[in-house]
Amino acid sequence: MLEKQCLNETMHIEKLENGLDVIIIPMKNVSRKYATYATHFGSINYRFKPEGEDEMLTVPDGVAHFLEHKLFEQEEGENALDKLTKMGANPNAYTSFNHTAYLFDTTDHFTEIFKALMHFVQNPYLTEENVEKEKGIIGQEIGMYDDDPDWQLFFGFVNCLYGKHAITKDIAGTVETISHITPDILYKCYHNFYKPSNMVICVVGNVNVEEVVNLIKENVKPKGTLDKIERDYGEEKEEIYQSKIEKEMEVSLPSFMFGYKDNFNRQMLESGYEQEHKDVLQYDVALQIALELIAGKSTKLFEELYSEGLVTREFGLSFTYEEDYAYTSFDNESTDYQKVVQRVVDQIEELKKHGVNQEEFERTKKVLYGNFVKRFNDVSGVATMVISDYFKGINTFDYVKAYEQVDQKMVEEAIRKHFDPSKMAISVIKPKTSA
Amino acid sequence: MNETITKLNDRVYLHTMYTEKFKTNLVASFVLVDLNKEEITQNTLIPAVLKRGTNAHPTMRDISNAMDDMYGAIFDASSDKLGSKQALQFYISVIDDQYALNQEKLLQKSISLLKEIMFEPKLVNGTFDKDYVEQEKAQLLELIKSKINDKGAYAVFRSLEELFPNDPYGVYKYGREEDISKMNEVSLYQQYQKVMAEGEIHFYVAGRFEESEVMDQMTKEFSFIKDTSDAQNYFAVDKSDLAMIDGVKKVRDVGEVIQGKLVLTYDAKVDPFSDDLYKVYVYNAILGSSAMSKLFQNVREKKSMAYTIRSTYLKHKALMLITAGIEMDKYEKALEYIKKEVQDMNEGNFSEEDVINAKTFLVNLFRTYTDDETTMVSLSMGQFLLGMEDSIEGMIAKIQKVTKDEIIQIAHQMELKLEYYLGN
Repeated sequence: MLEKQCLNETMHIEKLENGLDVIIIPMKNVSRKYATYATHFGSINYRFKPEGEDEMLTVPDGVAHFLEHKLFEQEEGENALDKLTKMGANPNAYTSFNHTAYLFDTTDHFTEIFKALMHFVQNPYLTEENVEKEKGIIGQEIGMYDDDPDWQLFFGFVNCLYGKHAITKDIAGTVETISHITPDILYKCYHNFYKPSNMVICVVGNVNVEEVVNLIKENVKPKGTLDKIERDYGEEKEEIYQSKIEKEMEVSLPSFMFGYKDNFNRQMLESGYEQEHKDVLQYDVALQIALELIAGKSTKLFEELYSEGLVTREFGLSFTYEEDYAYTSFDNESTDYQKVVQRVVDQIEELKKHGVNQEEFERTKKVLYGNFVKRFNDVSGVATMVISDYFKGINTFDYVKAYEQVDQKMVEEAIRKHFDPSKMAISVIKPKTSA
Repeated sequence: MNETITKLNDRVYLHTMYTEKFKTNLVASFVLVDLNKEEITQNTLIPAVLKRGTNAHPTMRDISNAMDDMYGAIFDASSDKLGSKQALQFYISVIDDQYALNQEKLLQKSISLLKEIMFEPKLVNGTFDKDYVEQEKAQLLELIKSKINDKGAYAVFRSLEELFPNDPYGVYKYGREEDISKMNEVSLYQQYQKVMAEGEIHFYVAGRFEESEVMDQMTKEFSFIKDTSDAQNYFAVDKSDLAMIDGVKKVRDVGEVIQGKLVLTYDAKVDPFSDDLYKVYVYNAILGSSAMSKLFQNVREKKSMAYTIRSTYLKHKALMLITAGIEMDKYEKALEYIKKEVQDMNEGNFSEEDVINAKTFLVNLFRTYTDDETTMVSLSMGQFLLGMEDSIEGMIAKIQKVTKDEIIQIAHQMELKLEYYLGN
């Protein structure tokens, strides 16, 4: 078992014989216990080579999310969500681009609840009838995303950067794509992606490491191949696909999201979870600091835009990177979004030319590091962070060093490297012009 | 977690709560004054103006930079209603000194900074900055006006307003629109001085620290606060307004709503200072505060009579509220089903399993309280007002002891006082 330390917490990592990764972070003083059981199977996994077959298989968009819904249904009749709730847990599940997770937190009866979680994730019960019924329920959920301007803004943006990549597909699919889903397709995906070697269990909170490991060994099925699944995420290239997408919706102010495509991650994340990806982490932290220095709430630029009435709230700023894509994004609302974008771009060029202010750099670094520390106050915060980093091939505990090591020069280099005008794109949601 | 309470004098209390659970430490304060119709709006404006600048940090940006230098410490100041009291609240949450990258004394700085914000405001010609006061007046006016935005919360506010026409508890928690134009920087500064001179002040430090160091610093920083007041700082539970309601009052408002908002208010008729509180908690969990509750499972899930439904117990006033978002044309039916669930509680139509599920839910909830510093501190403040000294484990033990008969007895005491409906 491998151990890692960070901020007085210890992470225990073990790969079981069946290939399942187990991550346990015991936090003695808290009351809560939080467990996540997740599979490396998300909405972007629409094409893969099934075990024992030679050809790649294409499955309907929205399959991962559909399966997430269906796993709560149990042959014994009682819905697994209700069952866990009755035992005192707060259970939940979600599907992201690259993984599906089942989780709960509780203060008492951890063992029984955890067993129940492992049981339902490993025992799908799919029938023609219950799959048909689910299509109506998910259809309504999809309708909600269509009306959500923030979601549409985001998809416009990733479409600009990644036109033919699977990340441009809606996580839940469309009413049309899910109409093709059958129990057979679901079982096929289940057998390929829900095998132990493609999954991880992460437990955080007031638990005993040895007890949890034994509990997992007793309750997780031993079988399953260790083969890596061959996946296809769709066409990929270094350039962007288009520089602008506009859409009209019922909103009061135009909203916009713009940012830059980055190709850094390709080679770096291949080597596995146990490795410390120092360069990736430093680059990540450097870019997060850069974003704050460009348009964060403490910048002169933001103060100007705010006092001129061009923006009314802080920018949403993020650097996102996963196994197969990476980009920065800035989002906000404005009556004159073109002016705002131009001012941000000017600021980037200014920083490229003259570098960053040392005092501001130090302060921003402290704030970001402080935010990282604060997330350890909450077991669910820790678990969420660890799981999402895990699927990038990154260990959350390695970030502390990156925060300590990052310096002004790294930030300046990251700015020059990342913010390439030819890799920039923008998505805009405009208010409907009345006919 | 251990709480120590030290009295500096008759109106100044220092609370320390030691725990190694968190990566952050919390410094907080509550200034408690009697809730008063004529002063509630002014008192709400005070923390908003104090937030704008101090003598040493005259602008919001200066304060914000100071917080950023402390690794992004989180700071806020606000006002809230706690039963018959109004509480002006201030807090700074900062990472523990051991995680500072350059050995900064963050907790010590936070205590000083909290004091600075509370007691050393930016002054112009001996009074508050006129611009700050005017800007915050405009903000507060918007805040009070926006009470109709959240229809569910608005329906609760309207219910309390109808139930308490004389008691200041019926006033909106941020105050009254008509007071705002009457305030200026001079009158507000006078009110501020009055509140600070008369209010009961509680300082909290929660987290990991050297007890003696923190006590020394707090005693040094806060001993200038003199006990000059003869105000009686006891917590009263006044229900005289309720006694004047004969039978059940019915109120119907019309608004631009998509869902109808229904609020039923019951007088629990229990002594808020007694352990009956725990019986009401179990009663409430079975009836409507949890996902396994009768209202949620039967009225929402089985009968589809409500989009949202829950019951809430207001411990400082011993009131139980049932709130529901319903389809307009189902008003009569929804009301009937809700009342049936309440009646079932009265007749003891609930199982031992319901009691167990409710207790499991509450035990989980109470334990979770201690996993968040802010919740821990507000819980302590709320308990202090009711003179309660139970620890979380003590509360749990009392929950476990509640019997089905005791729950039925609580059900018998519940008296419906108001049926409020917001529809169109």
